Amino acid sequence: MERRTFLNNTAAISSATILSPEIVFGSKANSAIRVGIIGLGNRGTELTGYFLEQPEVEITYLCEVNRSRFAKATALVQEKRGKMPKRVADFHEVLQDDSVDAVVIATGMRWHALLTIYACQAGKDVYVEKPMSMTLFEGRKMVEAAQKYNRVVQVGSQTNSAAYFLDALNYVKSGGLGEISLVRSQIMERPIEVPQPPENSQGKPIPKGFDWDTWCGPSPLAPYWPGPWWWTKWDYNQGTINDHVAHQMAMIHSFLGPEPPKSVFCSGGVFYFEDQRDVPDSQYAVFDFENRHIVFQGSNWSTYMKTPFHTLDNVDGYGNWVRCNRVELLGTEAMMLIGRHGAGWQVYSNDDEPIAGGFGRRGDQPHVANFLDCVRTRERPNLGVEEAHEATTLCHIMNASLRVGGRKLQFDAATESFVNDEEANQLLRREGRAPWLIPESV
Amino acid sequence: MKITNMNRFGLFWLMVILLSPGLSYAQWIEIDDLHVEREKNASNENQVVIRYSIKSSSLSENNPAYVFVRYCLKGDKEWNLLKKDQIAGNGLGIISKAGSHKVTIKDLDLNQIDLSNLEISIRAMEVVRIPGGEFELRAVPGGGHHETLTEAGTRMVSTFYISKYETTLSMYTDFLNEVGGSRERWSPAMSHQNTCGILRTGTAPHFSYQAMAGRENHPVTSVSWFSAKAFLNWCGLRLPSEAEWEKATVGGLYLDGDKTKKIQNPLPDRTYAWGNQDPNTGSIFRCNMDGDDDGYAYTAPVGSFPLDKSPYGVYDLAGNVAEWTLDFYTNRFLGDNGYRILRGGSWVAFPEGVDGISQATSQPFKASTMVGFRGVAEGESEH
Repeated sequence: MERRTFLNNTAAISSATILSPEIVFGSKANSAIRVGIIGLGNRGTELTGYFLEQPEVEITYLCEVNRSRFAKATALVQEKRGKMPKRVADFHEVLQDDSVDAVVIATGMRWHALLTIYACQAGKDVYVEKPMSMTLFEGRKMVEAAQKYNRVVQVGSQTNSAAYFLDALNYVKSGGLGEISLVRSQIMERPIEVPQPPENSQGKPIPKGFDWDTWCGPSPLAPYWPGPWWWTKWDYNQGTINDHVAHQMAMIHSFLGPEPPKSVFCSGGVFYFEDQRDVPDSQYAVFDFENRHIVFQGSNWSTYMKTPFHTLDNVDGYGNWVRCNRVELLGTEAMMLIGRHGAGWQVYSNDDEPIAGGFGRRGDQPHVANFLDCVRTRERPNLGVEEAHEATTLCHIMNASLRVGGRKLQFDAATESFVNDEEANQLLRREGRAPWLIPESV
Repeated sequence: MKITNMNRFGLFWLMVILLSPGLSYAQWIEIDDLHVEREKNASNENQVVIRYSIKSSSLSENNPAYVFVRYCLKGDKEWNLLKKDQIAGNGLGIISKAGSHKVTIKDLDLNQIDLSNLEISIRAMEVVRIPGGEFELRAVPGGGHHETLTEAGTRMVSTFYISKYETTLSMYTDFLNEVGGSRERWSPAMSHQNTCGILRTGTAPHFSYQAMAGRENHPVTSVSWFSAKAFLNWCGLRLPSEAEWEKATVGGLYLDGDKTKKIQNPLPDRTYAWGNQDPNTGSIFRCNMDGDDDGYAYTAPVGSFPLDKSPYGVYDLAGNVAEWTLDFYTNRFLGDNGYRILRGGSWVAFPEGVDGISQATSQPFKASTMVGFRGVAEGESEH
């Protein structure tokens, strides 16, 4: 299909699908959920495995624009279900198939919003990877699409479903910390040198079977260059820090609830790497709320983060609190430390005594299970698109402050815009590339 | 396997694996005339000597055998690899001529052993010499920074030897039968008939393992990176680095290496091991890939696709199973469980995924029905 015809076709599909009695009356409760996976890089392939671990799930589609990347996920489906999924390059085929109940969107970040909107329009429930959006405007439209078409949309910050996180959340909600006046969030990521295309490069020949144009999607069409250079560009992925901060803001949002920030100030830049990246390797922000603050510090040059988080995956032990990616909640009664990747949580009293806590395990599998439960029951998932959008808003406004030179920005949550700062407001939405434009009306 | 002359020489294990007509030498190479005895050296000291004979008629400097010996003291369950520094001379490792060979033990403790208490196993596999020199490593779609490389370009790789075929089920079951099928080395997925095919019988802790009938020459799959490493340690080999794997697939700038530079690689920028023809052009299936039009819905016996052969003569680098490499995808900060790089296509790959350039990654504790491995031995020093 020509891409230009997609929007019209999608509208036709969605109007048929949302009237499906199967979806409306919830008869999926007792039958297998049919899932299409879109995007088969590392994370998409991992998620294929997590979904296959769940009962009553069939992976009926694998979708990827680079045909060299199908094999691992295909083998997984074969291994676990003994069936060959349909393998397609064009996501329209997945969305147009009425037998598909849900899609997993594990593409690059630049596609998350548009595919979520398309999937909601087509009547699919959605598990979308984080960060859910590249701009605040994209996130708002995702929320509107999920609400308009009554879809379950879970955003893939999996810690929000980990048992240890839910225990910690209960502790906070029960008032164990008292009034929380300060939240500190720290990201210390390892340095990764990323080979960059030479300056003024015309690119390399696009490999056979790779739809590079669609891969770039809503982002600018770049000359083809292999490797993950795009991790380091605002236009394509927004960088490693941004990748991780979305997780931690989702945790913080759950702890604090939907309280909007009043202002933000962010400093940082590229201080470690000497390549052509335009995303920061160091980023420090302060968010002002009505009665508290969030202080964020992120780096991906740190040599401190030597404790590999994978070693915490399946062991009873706490993260190295000094050196791990963590959130700290400072209350009037006590202080909580909680890590990601199963690093557990601990509460210290004002007398510095550990008074509560628990070891952890990763949240990937529970997060997928929670999504599938919600597909069946139509309940809200642990990290629904509304909550995730509010959390991701913190990332977007922090990045905007950084990109306007570290100016303190006043944020109006009602209009989701900055007060009297047009330069900053322009960073809250992006152009897109026709025909891949976020619609004003979903 | 047969045991001979126990009174004089102790207990010998002699690996005799007959090759099926029409099949390549995919399993151990046939070894015969194994003797272990004590001899006096020039200083009139007793030394243990192992003599054996390789039957293969196809050995050469470029297509030698890799020979290794494992030994055990009777009553002791620990088997050990006889290491190069325990022997004098060149009777083990890379052997480029068929016929009789001699391994002289120089390890003092081993030379004191009562031979009637010694059990020996000797095995050999076909390997291919990849001469040292430069080659053009190409950046890979989806690939990234890893341990040995920061960007594509010309690379110098020292001489090494790489297994001519992927590690087979019969090889892997020998390993399991000797060392046992711990969780790291055995997984129930290996018992799936179509995608691996190892039969485990007996009861814990005395399981025995054998390839299902007809599966002996198929590549072992469902092995984690750690399992592959354990098998190769058992042999005295290691995994290839990504650069070594790619060079073995597409060739260096000179196929005879940079010492002589006589044979230019006609296609140093080839896409596939065999050249640039698409894997299924003209209804010719050049490797085992997705679907069963190529004759195999799942894995094929190694060496089944004569065109899936690199310029050095290494088979199945394009299809059959993808292969673990030594390299990390990012860097060691991720620790032992950091992503490792996989190379090559597999029985489930589209034609676009069987080239000599593409890269995939996996966490090393994960095993897949599309992933196997092959080993590498260090080559002669370049300097």
